[in-house]
Amino acid sequence: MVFQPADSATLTAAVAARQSNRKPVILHFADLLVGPLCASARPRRFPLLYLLADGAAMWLAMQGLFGSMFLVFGLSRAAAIALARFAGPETKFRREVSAWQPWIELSLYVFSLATIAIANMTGPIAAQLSTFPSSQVVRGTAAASIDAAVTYLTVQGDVFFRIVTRWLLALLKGLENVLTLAPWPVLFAVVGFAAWKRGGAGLLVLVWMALGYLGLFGYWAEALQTSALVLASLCVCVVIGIPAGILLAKSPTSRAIASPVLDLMQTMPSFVYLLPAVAFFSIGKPPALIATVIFALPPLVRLTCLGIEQVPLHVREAMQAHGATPLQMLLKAELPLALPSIRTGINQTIMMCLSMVVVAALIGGGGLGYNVLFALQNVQYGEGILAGLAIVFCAVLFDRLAGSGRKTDL
Amino acid sequence: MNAVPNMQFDTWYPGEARAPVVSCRNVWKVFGHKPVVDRIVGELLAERIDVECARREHGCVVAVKNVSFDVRPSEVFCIMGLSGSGKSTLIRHVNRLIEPTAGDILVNECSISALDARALRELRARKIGMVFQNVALLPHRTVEANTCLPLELRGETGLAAHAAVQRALSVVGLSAWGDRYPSELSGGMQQRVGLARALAADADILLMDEPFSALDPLIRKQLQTEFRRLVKTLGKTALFITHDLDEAIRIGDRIAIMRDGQIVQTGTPAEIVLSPVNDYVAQFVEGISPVHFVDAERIMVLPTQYPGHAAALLASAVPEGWPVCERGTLLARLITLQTESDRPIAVVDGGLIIGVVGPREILVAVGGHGKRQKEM
Repeated sequence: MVFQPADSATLTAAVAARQSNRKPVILHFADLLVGPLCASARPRRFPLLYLLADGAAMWLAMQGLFGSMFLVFGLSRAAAIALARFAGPETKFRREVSAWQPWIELSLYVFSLATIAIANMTGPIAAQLSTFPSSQVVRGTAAASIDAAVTYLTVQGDVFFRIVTRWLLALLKGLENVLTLAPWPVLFAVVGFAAWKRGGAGLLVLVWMALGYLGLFGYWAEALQTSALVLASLCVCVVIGIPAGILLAKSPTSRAIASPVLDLMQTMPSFVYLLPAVAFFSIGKPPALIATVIFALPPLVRLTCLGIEQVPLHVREAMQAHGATPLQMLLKAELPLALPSIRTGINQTIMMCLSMVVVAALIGGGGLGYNVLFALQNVQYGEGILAGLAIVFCAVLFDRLAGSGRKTDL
Repeated sequence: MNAVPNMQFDTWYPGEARAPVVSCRNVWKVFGHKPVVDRIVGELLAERIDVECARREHGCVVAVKNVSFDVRPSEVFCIMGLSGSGKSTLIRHVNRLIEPTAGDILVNECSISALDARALRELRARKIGMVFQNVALLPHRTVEANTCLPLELRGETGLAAHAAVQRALSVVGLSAWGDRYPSELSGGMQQRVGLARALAADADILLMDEPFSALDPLIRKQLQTEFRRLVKTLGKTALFITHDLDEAIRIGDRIAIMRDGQIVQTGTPAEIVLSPVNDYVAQFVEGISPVHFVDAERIMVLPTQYPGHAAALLASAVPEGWPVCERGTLLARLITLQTESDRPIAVVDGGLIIGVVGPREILVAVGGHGKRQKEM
């Protein structure tokens, strides 16, 4: 097409027209303040209703209900702006949105009006509506039955829990003995060597500085106790977590069951299962270990499962095509290929174990957590911060030594 | 649809007289929700509903539709089709990576759908090797360990296995690379490792699922030539999947062309190129140069029918000054002969003249593909 100067004016006009055609969606302060009134200008349906609603809202606003009014304004404006932003030029979504918009706005208005009206009402009905009907009986019964179940299990499973406690104690004591019986120069040398193999001189210096801090500030014994607890938890986590992750990756049914359980384990505040842990395993290190394992297990299970799921289909096919048994497939292809993911899982687990140290100290887990707890209870800021730093250095040691150190391997 | 359009074109194969190594009998594969597939498969087989209906109304995809073929011993059988034509699905039936919905697959005259898990593993480990388009090497193993995989999977790890691995690697020319990791190798070399892995198992049957498709043209051509030479010297039977007709022609003894899950035409490269059964095949064949696989016998006319010389040729002796060639002389050579002389070329077998190739025949063979030849 030949460009003609006369066209340029038309073009500019067209562009301007198109630009003015597009509704500017800018948040003005005034808009926010008188939101419902502005918004009511847009939808063509129910103008009278909107007007009434806005009148009522303004009237209530003048009555001093500023807090709730601002909330309602804000909500309606945010919804309108979000809708306008989402809707691109002439998509299916936009057409749908423009069909819903009046209804969404209407429901917002009705909601706001109802809120305001109920907040201002007095009498028995209003009281019923403003608070959800709760039942102390339901909660009481539920809590009591959980109590009863825990008590029952404590009594019935006594032998089992004793055996588990003994095993866990043996594991813990063994690890603690190994760590505490070694003279500190030996530990310095061993850890230093591991660091040097893993990350060279830089890591060696870092590790020795961390160890030096723990020793110099008198956290040596506690740090070793904590390390033993973390390592014992890690052992249990690995023994349970990796097979569980494999199972989850292999069977969709088990995944459907385990997924919510894992979510529960991760989101339930750890203090909550300290109590049953104490009930089952009494006070001391074993319940602390159990609580730590429950908290730290999910990432390892999830990442193992993810790692195995991510093994490319063509690798599985190649293994099958060459006559691999399911076990061979797992050992020769899936686990090696999932290894980076599993390593990340182990790293995560270690970090989560360390973050449980303070909580575990509440039920006699001992170690550095106890120092922090003691400092908190006696309002000793300095002591608290120093003990906290000791935990951080422990974390640094574990992360750098056990974590996904070199990027190049595999 | 006739599998062999013209009997005159049929050539002899090394193992023709013997039983087929792999044979597919009316194989169907329908993907979809299992109960639905079970319900509609009878209808499909009885042709009461068609593919389109299965997809639209039942949400099932018919990937392979009533496919039958035989692969003869020591033959390279190519299955050529565009993506989505079901060729990769089909080849996975041969070692039962995919179970057929209906139909049967025979390997060495024994139905594989009857095999239990152990026997199937045994079959896969000993009889059938497979090479994949994306190579599918294990990244954490060296080239040698990768090559050793099929042997290892069937429990052979001794010296003999090591020797077999070395042999396989030297056959593909990668002896010096045994202790490298796949990530250190180029794409072409990785595919050689894939081939070595299949060869190490010493399987009689090789399934090649578009092995060279992801490589650049030069390497691809080189590997194709090498592959054909290898297969022929080792006497393997190969089922080769490709989307490239050039490749199929270069590698295959016979080619099956697939479209929408069905085999449209089966034949030797020359048959496919010279007499495509329909427009679809003709469209592929366009632009394929026949000079390297069409021979004199295929394009000659009988001496008695050669216009203008019928009488002279009745004598069965080669007329004065005519160039002479054998039955199997390739078109490329015929062209050279024709340019050197202004007489037609006599095709001679045992001193007798069995046919004549003139400039017209050569032109038709080079320029005019099947359609036009049929119209003549």
